[in-house]
Amino acid sequence: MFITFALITLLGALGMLLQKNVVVAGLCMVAAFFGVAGLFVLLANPVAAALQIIVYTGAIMVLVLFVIMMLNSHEEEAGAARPVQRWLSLALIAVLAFAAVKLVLASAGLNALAVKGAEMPQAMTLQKVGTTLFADHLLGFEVAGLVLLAAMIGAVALTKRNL
Amino acid sequence: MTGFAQGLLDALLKDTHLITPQLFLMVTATLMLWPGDLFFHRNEKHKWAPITLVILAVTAALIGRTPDGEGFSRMFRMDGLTRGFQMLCVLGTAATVALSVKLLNGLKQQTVEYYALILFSLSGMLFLCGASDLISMYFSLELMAICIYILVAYLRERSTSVEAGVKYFLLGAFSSGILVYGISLLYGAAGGTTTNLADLNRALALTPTTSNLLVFSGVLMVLMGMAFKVAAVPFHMWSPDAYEGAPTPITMFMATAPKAAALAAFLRVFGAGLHGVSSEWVLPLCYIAGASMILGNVTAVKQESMKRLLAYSSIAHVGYMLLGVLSGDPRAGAQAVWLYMLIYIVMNTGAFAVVIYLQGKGEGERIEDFKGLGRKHPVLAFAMMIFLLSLAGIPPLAGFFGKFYLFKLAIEQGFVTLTTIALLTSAVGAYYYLGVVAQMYFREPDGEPAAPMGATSVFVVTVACALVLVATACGPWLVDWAAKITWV
Amino acid sequence: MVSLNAVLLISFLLFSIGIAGVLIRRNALIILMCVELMLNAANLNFIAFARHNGSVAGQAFALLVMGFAAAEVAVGLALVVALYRRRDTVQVDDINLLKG
Repeated sequence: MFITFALITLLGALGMLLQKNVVVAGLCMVAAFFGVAGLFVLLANPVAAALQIIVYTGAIMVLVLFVIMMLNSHEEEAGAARPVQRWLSLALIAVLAFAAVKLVLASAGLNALAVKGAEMPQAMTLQKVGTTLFADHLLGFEVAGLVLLAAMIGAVALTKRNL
Repeated sequence: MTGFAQGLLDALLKDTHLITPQLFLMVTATLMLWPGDLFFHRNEKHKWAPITLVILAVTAALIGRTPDGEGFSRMFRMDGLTRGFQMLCVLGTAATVALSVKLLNGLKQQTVEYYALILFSLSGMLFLCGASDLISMYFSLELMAICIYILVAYLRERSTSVEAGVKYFLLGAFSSGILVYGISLLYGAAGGTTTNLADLNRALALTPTTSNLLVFSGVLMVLMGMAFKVAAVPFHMWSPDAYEGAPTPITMFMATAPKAAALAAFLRVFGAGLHGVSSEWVLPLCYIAGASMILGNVTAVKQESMKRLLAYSSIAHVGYMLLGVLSGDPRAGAQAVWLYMLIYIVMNTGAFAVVIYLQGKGEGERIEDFKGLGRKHPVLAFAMMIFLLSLAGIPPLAGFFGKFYLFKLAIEQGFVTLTTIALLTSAVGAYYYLGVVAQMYFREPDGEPAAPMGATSVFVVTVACALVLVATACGPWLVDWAAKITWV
Repeated sequence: MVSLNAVLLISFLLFSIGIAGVLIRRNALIILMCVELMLNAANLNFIAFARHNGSVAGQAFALLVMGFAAAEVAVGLALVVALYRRRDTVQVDDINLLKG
């Protein structure tokens, strides 16, 4: 199961990276988000998985695809990237991949990090998440509300024809 | 179930007294949007500016009255550091609002959204100054930044403004992605239980050597994300463009208030929080500080746009201030940075006020527009000269005092090479500031008599100029104020 | 039980694909999606670490990050639409009125 979801995620992401057509890239992105949601389920967090699908594929990607269609900008991109940036990104990817491999090799240390026996006996429930969110992360919750309000006002202010 | 609800309500109200200024800002800004906006006719929107100034004054008073303490599961902390930098943010915001009126009137772009977004952004900054947890730091940064993305693109009829907004947004979102990833790595490296800075510091010091890479990459990514927010080299690419394209009051806003808030977070995260793993971040931060000073000052020399010049100069000033973050004595470092930031806000406000005045007449963007100002408008030119000389750090003006305090500390802490770089690049800085002064006094004006300034601009320029002139004389008081920037 | 290392590896790869996308692709909308990918990688980390250490905090972080991602996308799309109205393009290379 893990391999399947991991492959869906990575192939979706790669497809988004390499696909020239913006709409297809967006659909690849949806696949990647679904893959991540699957991984969340495997990590015993169905709440996050549900929200991942609702927020990312349901809201964000629909919005993005809507804008793509509206702007009618799904033609292929013209021209190649500037060489400096391509170099830089390749170097960065190399470094990151190296770090990833090294991390996996250093698995002993990572496993020591995971406190044995403290693993959650059952899956995350909505109630538990809610309690944490309101008891321990109240400030974050409040600020998230404010950010959404500000984003809404901003989006209206930027795009409404006359204020 | 009622017990549970009661518990929640208690948790809600328990620490509310710590964030009264922010709550006040949130509530009033929301009320301004609705129903407040219904009371003003389309042509009366400029009346929101004085109302906003009153709100800011009340906020400052509330900040002064908020007691020390820590709350919200140790996510927010009110102490000397928080209060001092919160005051700086309010100061920068008030100057922005005061200078916005005339420009926006001229452009017929007065809306309540502009002021409400500034207030929302300010409440994000106030949270950021006191964020004692990486997660609360991230979301306050986000609240602050999202409002500024919109404000940069506020003049949506202008291509440059929208372009600047898009550029700033894309790079800003990219950097916050890096920041969150860094936070997630640190969260994991510390045992996956906390992101509270104090706990994190303790836990990271105990991590097994095999997960050093995890800690290192986490710290580095957090550093990158934050360096982006203060526009330090090499994460400064957005800043000249965003500064140039944004409406000028917003340019000034970006150069002052969010920078103060981000530096407060910098001080708390690196100076105080991650002290235990300082070996991971001191060297990269040294390079960032040095590169900011060099590149900021050297690139500023060949700028033709005044706003870009001030953008590069602000990159250089951030480089100097990072010296304070590097200081091995976090408290002394925080005090020096606070003092420098206070002086920087005052002199920058003055310089931008002059630019905004000239811009009201359709010029002021380019350095050439300053030529002959000494003849056309002697008082204004004198004030501008004072601000520029102070930015250059020429004694006995305020800028020199701030620099002296900061560099002295850096030398005491053993950063001799960096301080030497700072001094040398300050000399380069003096060159381009004096270039503008030369334009004002030694070049013939193009004619056209001087137009009167608006009352608020005159007030801002006069106060800023007076403060810059007398600051050094009031040195002992300033140092006393700075001494209040402490934490337990 | 999924091993922590495997999840970390996936999240690292996801993150680097996101970074590569931001640097290589020139379409503002695709860059926005790549940023979302980076945030998703971070979420994966939060949830994996929280799962392995029996803490609930990470789960809440992941939810908060999702909320902020949604706000960011809303603002980003509004900016892109505003840009398209002005300049008739969403390509980053075409926005060159300001000299980088």
